[in-house]
Amino acid sequence: MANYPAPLTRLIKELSKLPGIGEKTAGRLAFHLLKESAEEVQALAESVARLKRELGLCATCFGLSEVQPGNGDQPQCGICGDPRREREKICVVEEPSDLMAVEKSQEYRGLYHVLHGTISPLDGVGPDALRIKELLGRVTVEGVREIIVATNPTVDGEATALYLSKTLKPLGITVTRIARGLPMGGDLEYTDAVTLGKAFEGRREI
Amino acid sequence: MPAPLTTPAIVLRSWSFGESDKIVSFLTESHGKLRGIAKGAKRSRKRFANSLEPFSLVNLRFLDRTAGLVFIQGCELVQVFKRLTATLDKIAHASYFTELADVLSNERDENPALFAHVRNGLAFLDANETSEVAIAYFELKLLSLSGYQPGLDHCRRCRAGWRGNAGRWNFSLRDGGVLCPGCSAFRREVAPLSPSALEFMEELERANGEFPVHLSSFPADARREGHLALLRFIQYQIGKELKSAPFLDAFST
Ligand SMILES: [Zn+2]
Ligand SMILES: [Zn+2]
Repeated sequence: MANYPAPLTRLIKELSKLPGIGEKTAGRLAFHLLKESAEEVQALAESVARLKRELGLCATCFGLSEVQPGNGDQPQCGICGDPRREREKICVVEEPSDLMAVEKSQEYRGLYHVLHGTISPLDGVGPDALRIKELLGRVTVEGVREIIVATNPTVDGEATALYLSKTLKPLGITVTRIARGLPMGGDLEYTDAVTLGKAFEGRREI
Repeated sequence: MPAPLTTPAIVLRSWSFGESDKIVSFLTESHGKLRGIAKGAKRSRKRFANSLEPFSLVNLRFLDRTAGLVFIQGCELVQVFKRLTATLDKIAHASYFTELADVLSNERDENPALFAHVRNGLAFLDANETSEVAIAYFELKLLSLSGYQPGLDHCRRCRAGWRGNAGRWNFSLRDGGVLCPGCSAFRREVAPLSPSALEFMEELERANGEFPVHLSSFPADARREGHLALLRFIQYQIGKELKSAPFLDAFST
């Protein structure tokens, strides 16, 4: 890479920071872009730049939300703003991508809350590092009756579910866990919609 | 192409890697600690079904490619310790045992006795109530199996025995064991040990093979003191704090 012109070197360096992309692949991608038309490359650059400018986290559920330009209010996602959603249920997931997986299953019509991680003793991640305080805040003011914990079927996902149950049950909330039919160590994001839908139907109280 | 190797193993950690792979760290019976890559593990249920989560006892089949990551060909679940994930208390304990096994074992260093101790520890936690006796016994025996056995019966410096020797005995991190009142004067890295904690630790050392549940008759303070001395000693040896240790306090019931 030493002899490449600076703009090429810079691009390769940036691309190789992406997950699963080594320097070789980054080089191939960079040379591919070099051959594309100026418009194509511009479109790609534009959409990368707009990603962070136009997408933020919903101030209520911490899912991904489009930031309205010129709107001083805190961003609210389409789901939180939809009056047809059942407002007494909140489904708790680890990441925004899990929220999308649950939506795809079309089994669930309630609201969401995204924790942005899991409790993990082995990684030293405690409840304070997640959006759990915000969840407790919502539960007390929004008239929520059921919390459905849809964390991944992993040790950390279980730890998080047990912690939520321990914290929420004293508040008189029903806490349920999606069914264990999901394979241990699996990932919601890669679970097919039918299996995930069934896991929701088969949820039980914890 | 080298032939695949197989060994019983315990899953210590696993991380997502890229789109569909996982990196997994194992404590194996015949190759010490190993890190490997499980290609497609995030998507494929068949090859690695349920078997790459921490605390699992598995049969690992892998290809050894010189140094670094091994290539995981298959991983068959031998025993899943189901109750280890049933309560926060058990998760905290199992995580602590697993992290200890991780930090006190060496890569590619065969140590079947250490492997057996870790397997027994998880099996014991799975089948029994958690207790400080189990924690302290697990810590002490693991230290001894990994070559860090602390000296507990005599003063590490002057060889005086603590029985019948009144005064304030201490545990010294630097000397790796107990020090008599005279030898521990003016030393700041030492922490006091009560007579009943000293006796508790000696009994732990004597217990060999089985988890010494009968030692729960020791006062709670003594058991806790013993565990904390060993925890401090482990952290001193490895030069860092254990991530799971605070969860033992926070999640214990
Ligand atoms: Zn929202
Ligand atoms: Zn002495």
